[in-house]
Amino acid sequence: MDSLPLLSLILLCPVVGVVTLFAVPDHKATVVKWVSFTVAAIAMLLSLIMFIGYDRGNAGFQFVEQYAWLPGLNSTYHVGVDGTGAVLVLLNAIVMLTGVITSFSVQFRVKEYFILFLVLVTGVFGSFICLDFLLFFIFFEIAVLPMYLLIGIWGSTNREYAALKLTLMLLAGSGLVFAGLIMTYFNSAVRSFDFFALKEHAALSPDMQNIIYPLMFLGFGTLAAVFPLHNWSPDGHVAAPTAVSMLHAGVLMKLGAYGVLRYGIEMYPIGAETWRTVAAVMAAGGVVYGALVAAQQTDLKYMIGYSSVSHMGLVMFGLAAGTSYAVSGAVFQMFSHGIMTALFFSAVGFFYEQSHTRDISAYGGLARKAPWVSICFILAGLAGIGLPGLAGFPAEFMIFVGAYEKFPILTLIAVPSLVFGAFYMLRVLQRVFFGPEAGHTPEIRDLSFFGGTARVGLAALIVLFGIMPRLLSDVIAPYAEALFK
Amino acid sequence: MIDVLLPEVSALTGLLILFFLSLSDNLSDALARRVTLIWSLVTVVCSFIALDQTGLLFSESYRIDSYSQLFKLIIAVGLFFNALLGWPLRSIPEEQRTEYYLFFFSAGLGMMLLASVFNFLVLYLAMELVAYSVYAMVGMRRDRTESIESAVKYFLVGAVSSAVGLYGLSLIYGAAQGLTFGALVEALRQGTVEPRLLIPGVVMVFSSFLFKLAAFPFHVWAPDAYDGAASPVAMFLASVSKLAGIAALFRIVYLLHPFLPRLETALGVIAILTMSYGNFVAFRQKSAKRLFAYSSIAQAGYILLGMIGFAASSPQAVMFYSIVYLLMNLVLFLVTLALEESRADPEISSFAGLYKRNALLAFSLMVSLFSLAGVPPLSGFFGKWLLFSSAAEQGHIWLVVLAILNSVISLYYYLFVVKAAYFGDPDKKYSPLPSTFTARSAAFVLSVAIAMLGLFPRPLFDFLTSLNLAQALAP
Repeated sequence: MDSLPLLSLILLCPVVGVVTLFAVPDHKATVVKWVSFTVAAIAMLLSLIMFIGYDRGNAGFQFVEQYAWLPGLNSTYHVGVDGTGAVLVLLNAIVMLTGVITSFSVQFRVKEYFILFLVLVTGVFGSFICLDFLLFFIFFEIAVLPMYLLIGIWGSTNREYAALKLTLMLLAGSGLVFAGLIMTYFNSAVRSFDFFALKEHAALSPDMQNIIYPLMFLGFGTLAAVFPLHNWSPDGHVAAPTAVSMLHAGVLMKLGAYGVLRYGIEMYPIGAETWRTVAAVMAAGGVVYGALVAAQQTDLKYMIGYSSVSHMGLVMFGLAAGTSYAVSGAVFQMFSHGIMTALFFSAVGFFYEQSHTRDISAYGGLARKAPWVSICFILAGLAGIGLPGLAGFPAEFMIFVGAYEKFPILTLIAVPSLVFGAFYMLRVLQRVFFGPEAGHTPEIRDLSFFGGTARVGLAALIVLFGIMPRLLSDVIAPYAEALFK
Repeated sequence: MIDVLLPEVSALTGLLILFFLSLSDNLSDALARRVTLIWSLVTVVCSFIALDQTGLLFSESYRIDSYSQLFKLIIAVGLFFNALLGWPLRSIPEEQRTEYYLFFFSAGLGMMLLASVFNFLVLYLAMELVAYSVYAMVGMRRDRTESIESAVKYFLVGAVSSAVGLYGLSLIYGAAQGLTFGALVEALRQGTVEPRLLIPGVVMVFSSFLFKLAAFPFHVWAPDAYDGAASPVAMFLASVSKLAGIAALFRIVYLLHPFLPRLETALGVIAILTMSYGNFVAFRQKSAKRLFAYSSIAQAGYILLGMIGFAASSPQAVMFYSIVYLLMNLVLFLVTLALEESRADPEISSFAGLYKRNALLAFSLMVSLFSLAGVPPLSGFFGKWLLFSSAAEQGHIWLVVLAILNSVISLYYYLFVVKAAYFGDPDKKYSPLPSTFTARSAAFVLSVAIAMLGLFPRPLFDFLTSLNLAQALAP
């Protein structure tokens, strides 16, 4: 098993899918869908093997591979995962598979849709496993760009505006990262892009770190929708087609947070220390702002979009606090929020396909009419408000406990917003799923078996990781402890 | 000696063939184009054969080295694609079309010379050979009065810029007591140069250059000329003609920079102004060709920025980006030409629904636009990375940051074209856009090249490194 290049194989799955799809004739939509499903399933299986095979007692990088790519610039194809990487690769595989299943309902330009979808997933996988800054940046962009077309062509409400805004904001963010990348490369003692070389030998002066870290934080933070750079995110969520929202909220935003962690905090520890308070205030601002705005929404997708801003704010808050407990919580939250929003969007997309509205007031009493999908949605909602026993709780708990020692006041400001979140979430759940049947409810049919596997599977994961958080925290904790040794 | 000058001889032969052919009255433009196509292919082969030649000819006025030979090869390939894709010459009167190909080779010859010049007078002659050919090509379009206006404007401003350059040249002659680059460098090294003559001379010669490159503030002619000229001519201007200017300019800059420390700052500032101007004005454009004109102004700015990183990596960077620049611009104009089938002077709105009308062209257009914006993993990103990093290595971090900001801004108007092509709806219900087999295969080959050079830049990069360009450029 050790000799198997597991990570490269995982990365190769969507690539093979893309190449295969190019060869499939345009009109064979069913073939296109099953090819995508097959590669997603294989990637899922490999990621699971990787996750199980991951040595939990070891905090360093595992499954490392390294090949020459651009020797002239000291850039190599260097991959490996540590606690964060392993968790996020698994998350991406899960969201990819469920996203493909959800996308079986796509009717229009099917081949192009799946090609772009798989390209996006390739970018995300690549970013999570790459240990070379230049290659990471390239994968990062591969992950961001397809969003433009996916939203613009297959999207709904105000799609062109949302697509343009999203792309421009995210690429402005990448511009900051790129500037930081160049500064790092030319100011470091070693001319290399290798993560280890840069981290250990770069010896960037504190002044330099103080300049570069904000570039990284804001650049990646844009993708993580850190307040007040979150602006693209709710519009993007709403306009995107269902599976793209799932990927977008489920993994892409995590990619931003991951960038802040790996290429911000880990690479420029002094800079991160200097800017800690600013970062924490921005993050906490996002937590409160997202929750308050979400409560005003009448469109289900906008509501989830803003609550994502709030939840990603929590992730960033944990990262900013920078204690091993808070960072563990943040990584855990990345995972559980990924699963949770994927499920949310998948369920909302399911309603929308049938009744073409996402208005909260257009529904009522759904639980009786469509019990399975309702249970899924309700579980996601309850996990979102941090109900113990579901995957959101251990994450939020760890973040708050870990952050309190550094930022007691900000923590005390952020916690009530969760209570407020619980208030609006319960109200929405009550209106949409219980009470008398209303509006469009009679049109809704329950999940089919195939579509159901994706949603129910996600819901099961929420329960599983809520009951047994150790499955994840065993992987994450050694990494986070090593980080702040 | 003929093997040393093989590319030039080949271009000259093409010129002569076309000249004699054009004397006959009943030569069809299709035949002229076929001859041009075949002969430009011959020129590519000749340039390839002559790739490893070296020499200093004609009383040290003409230098053959790996730098010049590679540029000649790039130009020859560019000429070939221009001959291949710049067809049909719809807006040029029929009786002039054969002459178009005549000027095509005379300009081509001038561009080859520009890559090798080592003497200010030869430089002037080569520049004028290109310029006069291009004036004629731009002026050939007769279906709109504006195009005659733009041709006259281009000619007048160009003539003034040449005059300024020529005057500057005379000052340099006075300062250095010689016209070859070698003589100037030698005089500078010994400190026998009169700076009061040299500096104004250099400034004037450079402004004449910057005019040819359409760099700020000498750019005003470019959008009008692109817009007023027939699209194949605009393609010619944007692709090969600009590269030849870059080839000669970089050689001079590289020779002079050790002696003129302020040159670096001046060019850096001009680079930033050029890209910012190009990018900001591009926003407001409606005509596709004007948009691409401003985009090529901005691109010239990026290349200028790469030039001032006089580190060892700078020549590779400029060369790499020149190649990529050629590929990207060929694709842009290829698609524009295909759109002209349905309407003259395409606007950005004419790209609407291109995706539904011709998916391959839309795809290659998108690849090329994203690459122009410098988005990874396309070769435009890698090229920009090389340019910016060679400037950063020289310590111009802030100029680089400004350039990166510019790249982000440029994405906005490039996205506008992508948006029209992919999200817009075509005018008629469903109107497939016909494209020739040539255009389709060229679009495919070029866009694959743009992607592959970005994903796997190593072979080209290693090849450029192995040519030892920095040494070739040294005095």
